[in-house]
Amino acid sequence: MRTRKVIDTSVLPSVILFIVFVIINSILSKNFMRASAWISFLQTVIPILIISIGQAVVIIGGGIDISVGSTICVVNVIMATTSSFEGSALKPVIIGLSAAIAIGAFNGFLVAKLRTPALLATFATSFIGNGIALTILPIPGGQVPLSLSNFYHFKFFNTIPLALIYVVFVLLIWLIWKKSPMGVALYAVGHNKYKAFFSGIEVYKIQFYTFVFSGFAAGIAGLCISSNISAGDPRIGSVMTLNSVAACVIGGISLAGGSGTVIGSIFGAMFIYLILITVMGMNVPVYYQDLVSGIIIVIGIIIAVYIQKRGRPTKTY
Amino acid sequence: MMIVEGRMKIKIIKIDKENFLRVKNGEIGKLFLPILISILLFTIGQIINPGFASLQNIGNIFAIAGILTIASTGQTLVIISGNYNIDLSVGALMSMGAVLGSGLLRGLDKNIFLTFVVIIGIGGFFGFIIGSSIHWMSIPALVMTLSMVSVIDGFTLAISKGRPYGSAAPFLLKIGGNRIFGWFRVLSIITIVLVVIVTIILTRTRYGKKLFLIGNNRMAAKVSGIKIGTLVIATFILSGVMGAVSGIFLLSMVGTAQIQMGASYTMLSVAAVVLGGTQLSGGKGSYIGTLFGSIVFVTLTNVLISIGMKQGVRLIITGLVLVMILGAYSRQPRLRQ
Repeated sequence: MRTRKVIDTSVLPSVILFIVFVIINSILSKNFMRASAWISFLQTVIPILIISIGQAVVIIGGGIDISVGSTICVVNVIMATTSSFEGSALKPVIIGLSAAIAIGAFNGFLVAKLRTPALLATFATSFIGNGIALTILPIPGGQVPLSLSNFYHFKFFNTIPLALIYVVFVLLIWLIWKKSPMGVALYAVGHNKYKAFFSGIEVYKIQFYTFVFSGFAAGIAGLCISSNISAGDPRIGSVMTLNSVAACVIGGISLAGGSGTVIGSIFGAMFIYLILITVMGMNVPVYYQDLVSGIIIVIGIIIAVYIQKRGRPTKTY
Repeated sequence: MMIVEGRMKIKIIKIDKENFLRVKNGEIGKLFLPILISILLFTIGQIINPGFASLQNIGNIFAIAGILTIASTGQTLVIISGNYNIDLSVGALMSMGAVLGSGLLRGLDKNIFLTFVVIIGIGGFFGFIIGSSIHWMSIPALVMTLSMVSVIDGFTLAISKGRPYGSAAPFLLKIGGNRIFGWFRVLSIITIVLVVIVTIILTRTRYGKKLFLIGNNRMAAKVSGIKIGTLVIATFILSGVMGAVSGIFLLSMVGTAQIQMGASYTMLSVAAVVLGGTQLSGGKGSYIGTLFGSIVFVTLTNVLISIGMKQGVRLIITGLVLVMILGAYSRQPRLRQ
């Protein structure tokens, strides 16, 4: 039996906003279209791209994960303390990623097994994560192995950064999930978990896996951000949580769950970071930059939500 | 219920006396738990660190919990209004209130009135933007308030140019610092008065009754002729005003303003409201509960500080306690009923 394919238009607003701001930026600054500018833009934006992918999967499944920022902090301090500058990269990567997956599994346990609201459960976890990060490394410092940093900053033919491989890796795992029967189940759970339950879908299992995936993505993002700045900072990820949720909303993923695509969140994240570049390019005085970029992001969200308004009641997590 | 001139209109006049504090039936248990936990925490603190349960320290804890309670006023109303509404801009509004308040006061008593008017105006304006976007553009409250955080913080930064100036007025410092009978802070009296006023608003006025109705069942409220938009926007305006005003009270206790000084209060206010037995799905809850939720949270932090724990360990324990409390009474029903 064949099913008719319906083109998902929820990505459109974010793609349009992204293209508009690429054009604005290339008019404002001549350097913007150079390869070197793009490479440094990508290297900064890759961590937020990856956690947005994880966040998107959780939100599509009807939850929300506001502990991703603290997971990044934990991974970052582990990367910076478990090895030396010249040392092997294997140990920090393995410990860091397992810690991230463990935090994700803990979130999944709280939401799927204990049935606590996702917003509050992940909020509690973010306390624990921040606490662990501050205990391991109270003040910024430490050293991330040089090999990780070299790997991250390597580029092919001076145009394509090798760091993109991390995004491809996470996207690949998501694609395998999406093409499997569990992909359909995820959307079903997000749309209406009662109907999904009575259709024989293991709702709790799916919810659990979304949080594990989000934790894993946050782990990879932590690896990227550590490689990029090659030092440890126990508060580095705090801002990123909010940006990942905003990226998903701009990317057309409804917070009610069950709709939207992961690609949207990627464009949403790139749009948010483009705005920061635009505001700097417009020579806005330094104290007004936050205000201007904040207003543009709010307008972006209003446009994105307004275009794809479907009359469904808005449930926020 | 009365039907006036063909237009449906509900007039709620009768109020049963047991319902006055909204603590009847199952809700009494939800208030009981926070009280029990606070007494337990005080006992633990006293055992580990004799002198913890002194009147002086209890007065301090009440004052700090008072700030959190004032900051959570808007959060309580917004969460009761249902539809999974939540206000995550409280912290940014508090910082704004504190920084702008200190700049307007410039350490003079005669500026207090003007300061309050300006701060209430700005807070109400931000609340109006948030509320109207949520209602008319149907943007989820979580997203709208989250993204307004950077706008409000940016506004504070733009006005203060990164360097908060001025200082709190002497009268406000007296409110924040002076003690009655040697231990009870003046600020706690303001908190108690506010708790009484908001509880009366929630249980005795049409606004409060309508708020619980739209929180419980929006469709029923709509059919009964309640103007949901006006109510939601009014609630967010109130939330904005209370957030900004609580910034001034924070300033009155701390003395000097800093950028982002209220940021941590955002999620603390959500925690206090939920600990107080208000349901995130809306339509159920009380402001008294929020007061007790704040006291529990502040006492916990205080016990951990008095033991001499480092900040990291303190955060871990706070998180674990939060998980336990959530597991105890914020669980959702099973899918198989």
